[in-house]
Amino acid sequence: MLLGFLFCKEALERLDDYLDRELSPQEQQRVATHLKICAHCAQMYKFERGLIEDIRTKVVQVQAPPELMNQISLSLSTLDEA
Amino acid sequence: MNSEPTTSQFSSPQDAFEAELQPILDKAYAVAYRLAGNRDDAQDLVQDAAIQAFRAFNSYQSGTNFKAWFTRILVNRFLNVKRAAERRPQTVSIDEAEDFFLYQQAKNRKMLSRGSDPAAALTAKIDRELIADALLDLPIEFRAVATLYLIEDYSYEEIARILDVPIGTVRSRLHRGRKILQKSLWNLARERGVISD
Repeated sequence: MLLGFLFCKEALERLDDYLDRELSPQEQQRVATHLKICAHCAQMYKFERGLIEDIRTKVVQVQAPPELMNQISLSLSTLDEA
Repeated sequence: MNSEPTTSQFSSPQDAFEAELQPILDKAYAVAYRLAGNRDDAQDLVQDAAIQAFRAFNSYQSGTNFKAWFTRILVNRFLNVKRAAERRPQTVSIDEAEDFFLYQQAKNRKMLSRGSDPAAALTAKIDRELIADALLDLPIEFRAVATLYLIEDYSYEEIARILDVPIGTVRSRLHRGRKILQKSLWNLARERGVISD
């Protein structure tokens, strides 16, 4: 058995955590090594990464209404008076 | 030099509180909007969370992470209100997609792009509204985790702290939430004719 070698199934089971940088440094390295030698898993990884990055970019494109801070200030002032 | 505002710099606790809230308001609103699903409810949620946070402001330590502190109040307020509104606890449908559902669909339909982003052809068809609606398909506990993950890019540990749940719960909800979200995105895209059968 090759020490540290991951089969595709094992690499894909770790892919979410790898994407999210939630693996230990050793595990992170094992997945990275697999992705270097396996074009199929590398393509899946790039797909998932591209998808999450795109969703992230789109979900944050929201701005608070300009009047919200004033409304909050007003509510807090009313609390002070109560 | 420490540029963090301290209560003593301000003429009132309200001024100190607002100085902390103002820089994070857009992000807090974005979280509220993705949780609540519409502008009116998001605005109410942020405002109610602000009142609750202000009442507890003396428990906040100046110079620590106000955004995480406020987000915790906001998300838990959302969850508590939603849970109270439900007659019985929401059960999560196990009708989840298989792993890498969108990748498989894109591959089957020869929609994988060449180059560094194989998802590009698919993501070009998915707009913000579709993503927002797919997020609303998630059960509330999963939506809370996914929202913090997507908008704030918090680590699993940070999300666990904010929601006061074990880190394994965050990992599991994110993993399952990803699958539900991918399936919802695909179904909504097909329903709306963004992707043809």
